[in-house]
Amino acid sequence: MTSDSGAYETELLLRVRSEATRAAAFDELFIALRKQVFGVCLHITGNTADADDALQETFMAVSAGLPRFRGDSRLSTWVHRIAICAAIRVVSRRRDAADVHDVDPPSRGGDPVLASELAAQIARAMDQLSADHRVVLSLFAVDELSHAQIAEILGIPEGTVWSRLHCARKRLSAVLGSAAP
Amino acid sequence: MNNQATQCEAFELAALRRTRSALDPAEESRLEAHLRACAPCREFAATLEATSVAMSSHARSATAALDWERVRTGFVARRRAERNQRLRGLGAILLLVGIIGWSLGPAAGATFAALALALIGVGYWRLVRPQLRRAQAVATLNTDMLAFYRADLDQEIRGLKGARQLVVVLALLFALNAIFMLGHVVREQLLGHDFPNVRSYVATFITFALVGGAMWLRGRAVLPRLERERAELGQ
Ligand SMILES: [Zn+2]
Repeated sequence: MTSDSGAYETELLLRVRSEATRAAAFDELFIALRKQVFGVCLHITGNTADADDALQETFMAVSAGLPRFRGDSRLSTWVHRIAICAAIRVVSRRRDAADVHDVDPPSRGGDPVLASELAAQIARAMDQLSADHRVVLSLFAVDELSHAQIAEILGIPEGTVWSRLHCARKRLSAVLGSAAP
Repeated sequence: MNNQATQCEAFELAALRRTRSALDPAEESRLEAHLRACAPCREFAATLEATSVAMSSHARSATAALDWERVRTGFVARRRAERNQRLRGLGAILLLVGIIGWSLGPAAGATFAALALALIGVGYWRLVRPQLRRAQAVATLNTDMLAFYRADLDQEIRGLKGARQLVVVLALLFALNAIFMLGHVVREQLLGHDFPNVRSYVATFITFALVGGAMWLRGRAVLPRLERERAELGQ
């Protein structure tokens, strides 16, 4: 869903509110948002297994909470907020298990080897950032999310989104720089 | 020099806004001109471009490798398991309330059962489904969601700690009461009377031991996890 899908989301919300059409509407919501949500979870958690876990937790909560969803925010905003909470929870569980941080990026486009090596470095660097920084970078890594939507998801003004992103970018560069040989 | 740094910061912000096509043509050409002249900003823009491409392509390839059907069956199964857990918990609560109600007699039993069901039910709901409760809370949010998440976790941790302290205090009261009752029983036995209300006392004790024990154990299992989640969120 992109920023100009507001009308579609309103229509979907109508179907979510009626019990007869809710299941089909949920399927549509899952198909429409799963890639974006997985992307956000992937960048926050840093590996596909944890992102998969967070993705499942997200849609479990969405399917359980959908009957009570009143449309106080856009559906996609709500789903992304749940995903952020789920991804952070999954990361804290992983730290508990004290697993070695596994990053698994193959790639295509450009130079695949260079891109995947850089993706691995980024995932390790992201792991050292604060949650605020990691979350804003992860949302901006999803091309389909506009900055207005990101501001809406985070519940902060657009100006604050840009300055938080700027801080996060500077931190990421610093960590990447210090990790470079 | 300081002036230069401030100026560069504005151009770094412009480079970020350009990734979301949020620059007007005039800003765009000012940024281009600055990038031609300023090496640090050029490096910032180049790193921005390279990391964005790497993150996007990483996400694309990881997404392409996902089996959506498995994801789907996964969260459906999780939801079913969670629902069963909730039903089992509610069954256990009903059973306990039944035992106590039976031991207290019909009228008192019914009042007690209604009160206990309401109290334990609400507490249980909050304990078992904090994720869902939070999912519902974030739907209506118009403040910084991460700040809300922190405050909400703090509240949850405080609540759980408070519940555990309450269990300890109640356990102490029960222990004192048990000693007093024991003395009473011995005295009554010596005088040859029957001790009244043993049944209700034992039923209350069993209920407390089960509910209190379950709350205590749950707190012990959940608190460290919540505290790590809170630490993950930072200040
Ligand atoms: Zn500059």
